[in-house]
Amino acid sequence: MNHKLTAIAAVATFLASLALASDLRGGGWFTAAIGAVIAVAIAGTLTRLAVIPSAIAGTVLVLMAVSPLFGLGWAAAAGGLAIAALVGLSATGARPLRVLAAACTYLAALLLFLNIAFAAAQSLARLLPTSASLHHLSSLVSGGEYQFKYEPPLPLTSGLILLTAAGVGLVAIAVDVLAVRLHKPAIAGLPLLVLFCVPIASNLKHLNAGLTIAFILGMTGFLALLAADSRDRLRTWGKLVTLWTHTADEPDQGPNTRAMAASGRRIGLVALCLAILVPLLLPGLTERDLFGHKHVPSLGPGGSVVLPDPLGQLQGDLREVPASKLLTYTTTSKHTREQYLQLYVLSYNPSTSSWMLVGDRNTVPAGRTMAGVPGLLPQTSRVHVTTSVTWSDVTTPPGELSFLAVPYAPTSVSVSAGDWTEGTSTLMLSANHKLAGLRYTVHSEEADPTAGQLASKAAPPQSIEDNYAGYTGPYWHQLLRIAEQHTKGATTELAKATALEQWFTSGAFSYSLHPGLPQGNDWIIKFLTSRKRGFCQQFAIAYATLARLLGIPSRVAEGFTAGTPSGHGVWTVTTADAHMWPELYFPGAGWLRFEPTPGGFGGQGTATTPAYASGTGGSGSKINGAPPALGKSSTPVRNHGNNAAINKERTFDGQAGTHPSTGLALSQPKPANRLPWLLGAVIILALLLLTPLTGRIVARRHRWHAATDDARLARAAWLELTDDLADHGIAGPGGDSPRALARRVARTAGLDPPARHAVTRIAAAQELAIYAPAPGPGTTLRQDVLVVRRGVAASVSPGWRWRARLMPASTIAAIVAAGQRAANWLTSLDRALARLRGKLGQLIRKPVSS
Amino acid sequence: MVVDTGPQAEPKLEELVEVAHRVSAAMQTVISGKPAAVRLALTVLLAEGHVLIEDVPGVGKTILAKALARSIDCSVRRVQFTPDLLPSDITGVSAYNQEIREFEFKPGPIFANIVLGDEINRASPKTQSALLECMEERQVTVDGATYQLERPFMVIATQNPVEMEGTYPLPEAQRDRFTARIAIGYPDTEAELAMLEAHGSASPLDDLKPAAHASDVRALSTAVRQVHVAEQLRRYVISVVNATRTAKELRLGASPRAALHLLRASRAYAALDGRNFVIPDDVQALAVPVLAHRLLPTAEALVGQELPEQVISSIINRLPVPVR
Repeated sequence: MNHKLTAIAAVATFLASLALASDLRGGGWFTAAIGAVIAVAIAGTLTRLAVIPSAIAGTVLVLMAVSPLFGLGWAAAAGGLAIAALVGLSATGARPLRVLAAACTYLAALLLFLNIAFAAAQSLARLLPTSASLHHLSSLVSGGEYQFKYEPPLPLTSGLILLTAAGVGLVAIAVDVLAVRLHKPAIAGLPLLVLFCVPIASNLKHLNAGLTIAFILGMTGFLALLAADSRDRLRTWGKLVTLWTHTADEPDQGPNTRAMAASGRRIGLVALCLAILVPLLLPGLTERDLFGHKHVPSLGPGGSVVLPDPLGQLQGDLREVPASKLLTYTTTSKHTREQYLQLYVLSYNPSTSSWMLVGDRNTVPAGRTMAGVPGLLPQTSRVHVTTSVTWSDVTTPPGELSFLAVPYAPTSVSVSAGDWTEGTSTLMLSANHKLAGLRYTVHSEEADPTAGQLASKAAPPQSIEDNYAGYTGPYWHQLLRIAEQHTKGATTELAKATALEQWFTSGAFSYSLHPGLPQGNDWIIKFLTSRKRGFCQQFAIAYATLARLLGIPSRVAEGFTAGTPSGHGVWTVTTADAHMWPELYFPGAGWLRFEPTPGGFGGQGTATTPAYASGTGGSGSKINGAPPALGKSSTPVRNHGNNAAINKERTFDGQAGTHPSTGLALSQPKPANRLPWLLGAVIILALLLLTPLTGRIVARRHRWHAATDDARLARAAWLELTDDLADHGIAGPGGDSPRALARRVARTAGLDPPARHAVTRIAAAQELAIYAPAPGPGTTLRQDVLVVRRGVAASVSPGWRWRARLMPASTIAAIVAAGQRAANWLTSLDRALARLRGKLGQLIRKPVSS
Repeated sequence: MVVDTGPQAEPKLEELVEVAHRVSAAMQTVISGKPAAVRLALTVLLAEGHVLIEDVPGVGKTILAKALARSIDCSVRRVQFTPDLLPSDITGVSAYNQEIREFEFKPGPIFANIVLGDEINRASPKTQSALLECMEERQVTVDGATYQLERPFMVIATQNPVEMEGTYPLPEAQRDRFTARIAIGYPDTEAELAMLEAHGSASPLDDLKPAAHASDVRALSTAVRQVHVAEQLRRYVISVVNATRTAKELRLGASPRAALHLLRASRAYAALDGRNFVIPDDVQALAVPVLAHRLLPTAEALVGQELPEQVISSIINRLPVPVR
């Protein structure tokens, strides 16, 4: 029986299960997972005993596991007994019975462990499962299952720990069966892969150091499993060959696997290093540094929840004819028309060069105590609004995560049904719950900053800079030029944002929902310069992109406009009100929406420009505190007086001496961020390419520098000559004497007489230096080497000439030789370690035998 | 090794080259188109060794030997080996002189500077060994009296490898005493044509005038001993010889005496080039003539047509030359 392989299979499973760490908050599940793995390993060992002991052990375990059935009436008791009897009958050695017995033993052991670990209080003698303990387990399971729909990392509950332990235990069963029982450790990699797939599927976008290390540990376990099995197989083979020796069972008697194991270790090590380093070092594959914890917007769903496709949904909604009713609401807002209902938040994802749904890494249950509004400082005045929403009979695709439409920024929500969570940074409210008929009341705070607050020079927090600032997409420099051109003269960020908005809504762009919209990765530049047609999606994304290029953090929100009033203070939102708009971050005020999409008849019907964005910023400055007239709402309201106020601010900034273009350049570090990366990569690549060349030059300099007397000069000349020949690909087999080499070179390279004489002189000098009693004069040798090199270079093809310059074979051979030396050193280290092990083994055995 | 590289060594070498060129030129008036064989014969002469000329009949074995003998003004004796030749026919006998009533030693043909032993394999082993003893020891012992042989002393033995019936092939131990074996080979067409013309009228051997004196050769042999051999070249010679001992194609490798002969011959070869030091090329050029006749191929190698010459060539190609 192979206990070592069993143990390594268990360790491999546990190491692989560490990959789950990134999905679970805290380490409380470790012990449970270890316990499950150990329980399975013990069960596996029991099944591999001789026929009768394994049957007895299996029967006992199964009887213990099915004991709750005995209290559930005679039918259940009979079923349990039948299973136990079948397991007991495996003592006959019948193969199907043994397979069944093994399966039952594994499952029974796992169940007993889970019962002891999670429901000991309800168990008989804290050991035997009872119907109460099983019921407890099942309630834990359903509680744990529920958590899976959240985005990882999940907070640990006993239900979740139970599910994790059970899952790891099942994988451990599969690994144990495949690796130890069936001797197929390579296939055992598949169940292990399942463990990796869980976090990878959910954390695909933030492959961080933790996951990398977990992956390495998992792979280490897998490699150890493979190595242990190979050694075991070789031993088995050795046993068969030396069948007649009685000591064949002793571990030392197998064939020597050391050399093979050493090569295996080396190959494994190199493969692992490559697998880890290549993706990390290649700048195109990831922009993360090894231990960087920059938050990347995550799209990962937890469990089997499907994320909605905001862009597709938006187009589908807008094109729906006739528009269907989605929801109705009542609100306490005084400017209902300006109050949009927000569903999703999208941010630019540099790795995919597209705008994607922001995944919040931190979520809290949505309820009365919700996270604060990001960026909204206490001193900033705000308007409290209460909105009650009722969804119509809308269909939600099964399994898709639903989001609540709420006015920004929600501070508390009470929902009629479902368990809703809130992203702490995006304030998106989501749950895996259907929306149809859903009612909820939202309390929200609408920032109402003063112009002075909006002109604040404070820097946004790092989390905003990391996730919402900078644009590195295609054509960013042209886009930056366009943005600068249309914000000329604007010094504050608000002024720039307003200037941009004015450009979009000035009539230069037209609204169109129909085909012919710009496509491809250069669609923004096409949209801004030539096509100038699109709907809210194009306007919002283009606007947000330009804002980022101007140094203003921006994102894109999707949801609905205020809709239309349908009497009695009730507003109705239809699919025609689906909308997308940019939001810009202003320190102190948080996220403020802007409206670049043309509104009214020729545009997005119900789109409105917020007061601050239309140049009427300031506390309580909303025109007379009254909502704008319905008919006017679609066209941006512009007030000359307020524009003057903005202008005054500009003048003030101008006096402060900020040069607009410098300010823009300084506030726009992100697009340049990729440059050092690329530069670094190019420099590293160039250094790598230049290493042989540099090595050759350094070696040459060093040789001539060290040549102080005639003998050394001759030696240096000779080494240079042989290296030059190797570089040009006409080095001989190595058995040439100096003059034979000179003859051969003169012949194969077709040297002209001066070069021929030079090479003869070099050979003669070397002959005199090493064979004769005294060396000859070496004064002309350096020149001779140069002459020969030129002659040789002239005789080879240009390709070889360049290769001799850039990739000199002599230096590469030296590098290879160094590698060989390193390998030899490793081999000797290996041997030394083996000797040490042997000696230690002797030392340990000696006291035992004495 | 301390070597005399003083000013007097240089003129000696210059002189040697000149004398050697004279001898070589003289010999080549007789043996046309075989400069390598001529040079090898001179090398062995200066290395104070003996040479075995082994080739098919009629390619000029005897002529080469005679040409060498005649280009140097020294005593030359020729012995035609036959099965009934006795050792005393070579070394000489003590005969009773009636006039002085004493035994008087009558020196045999071995008492010469150059002894030409024709078809040495036709003599009985007893006679062969008598000759070989003289070769090695450079002295003759007859009836308890020892007689020193003159310097230079060189035996040029010829052997016919094809006509083996009724012959006594030289045993390995005795082949080992020859410094080098020369295979002359057939001349090329031009050389053969020239030979037909030259030998048509009168034997050119008759016109051959000595180009050097025996004393010159003695002096030059002494100079050859002074030629410098670098440490790494001595190691190179050892490694070549060692390689023949471990080669799987060979049943018998080269002896330590072979290494000695190779080194000595390399010195002479270098000296003939006007060099006072040996280079690997000398060793390589001499490896086959000096070593091949001492080696015994295995039966498998014989079947596979792998001759000792080829084995040595492959060893030379394989072994790294000490160039650093």
